[in-house]
Amino acid sequence: MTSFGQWRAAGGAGHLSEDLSVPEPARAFQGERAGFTSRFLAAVIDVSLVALLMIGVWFTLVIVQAIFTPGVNIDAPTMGTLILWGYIFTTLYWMFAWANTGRSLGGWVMGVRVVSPRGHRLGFFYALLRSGFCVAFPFGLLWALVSKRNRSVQDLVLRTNVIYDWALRPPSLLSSDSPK
Amino acid sequence: MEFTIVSRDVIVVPSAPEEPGATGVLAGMRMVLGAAAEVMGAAAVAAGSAAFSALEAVAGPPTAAVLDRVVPTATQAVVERMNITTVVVDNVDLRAIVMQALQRLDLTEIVVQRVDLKRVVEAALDSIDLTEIVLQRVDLERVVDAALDQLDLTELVEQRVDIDALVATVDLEPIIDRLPIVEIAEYVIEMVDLPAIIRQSTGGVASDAIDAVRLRSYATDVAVARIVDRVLPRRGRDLEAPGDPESLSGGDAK
Repeated sequence: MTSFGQWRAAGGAGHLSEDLSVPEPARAFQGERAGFTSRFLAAVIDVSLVALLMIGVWFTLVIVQAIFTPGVNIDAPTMGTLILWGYIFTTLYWMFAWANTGRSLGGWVMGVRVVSPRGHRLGFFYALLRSGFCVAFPFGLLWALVSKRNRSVQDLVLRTNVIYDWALRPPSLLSSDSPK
Repeated sequence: MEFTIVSRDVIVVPSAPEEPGATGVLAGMRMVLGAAAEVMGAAAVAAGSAAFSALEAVAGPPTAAVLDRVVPTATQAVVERMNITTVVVDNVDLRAIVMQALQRLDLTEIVVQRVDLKRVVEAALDSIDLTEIVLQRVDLERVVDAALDQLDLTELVEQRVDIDALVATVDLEPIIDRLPIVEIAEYVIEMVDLPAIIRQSTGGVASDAIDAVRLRSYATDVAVARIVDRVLPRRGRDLEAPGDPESLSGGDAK
């Protein structure tokens, strides 16, 4: 067993202390650039959630229309409108998620986090740029398959990184690149 | 000038006190008188000896009464005219005498019996500043070192010192203030892997499932990357990201 002196000499406080919340097998690769599969699944989860939300909105409106007809006259949104709303919502959702904790719900499930070029939390504007880029050009993620550094097109352009980070970090504890 | 007959054989001619300026005539007189005294003394000694011989022939050897009277007077006269100390120092082998005396005597016994050692020592101690002498004359460092070399100080303290009582008087707060309590707590948490214990005791199916999904996903990432890397002509990937996960909660952006 490591003595207190040895432990202190090896780095002591802060030495993997935050990784302690991570299971032992996963501690080794925390902080590495995340691979395509994890990021793709995270995006799928997020997009699925947004799609479900949009379907829920559409369904709710249809039900309300059906119940209150003829009193209420609501036009159920068309598929194109819902997709547009979905794009907008996804953009805003990712922006707030990445600017706050660095990850959306899908990112939390898959244990990945978006960080700035210097490895910190993104600022809101930076996060908005990235989320808009991701929504506009989702196929950019495919580049992570072949990129030597697991970078998507968005990461290449904006120099952002996506890392494995299973630990829970409240937004208040995350350092940011944006001016405070 | 008076002549004092201190014994039958000796005529003492006291020296005249010297007066300043008494030279010439006085010196001549002194010489004359001295010579006269010598002549008279010799005559007196001769007469005394004759008388003594005659008396001894008539009355026999001198009696104790006579000796009692003559000897002290003669001795006194001799003593007054001689520096006994000088005579003894010049003519006596004092060392031989002392050595013989010491050989015959048990000096220690005599001192122990005859001397009030306590008084002597007390008087000696009163008259000297022992502390000052020790400080000046004694190599205290050597003495202490030698003493410490001969002692097992740890054992001595264990036997003689009530360590519990000593520790009970210690003010622990300053010591605790110096201890890295948080670091110690973190050390203990890490050593017992407290997060793992908490996960095991509070974690449910959901967290286990999420961990499993994440691990499986990571394994897939590695496998996919390996396949792609095998197809592409290159060796592995550079997965080192800027900053560590820890930098997220305290990096250089602050």
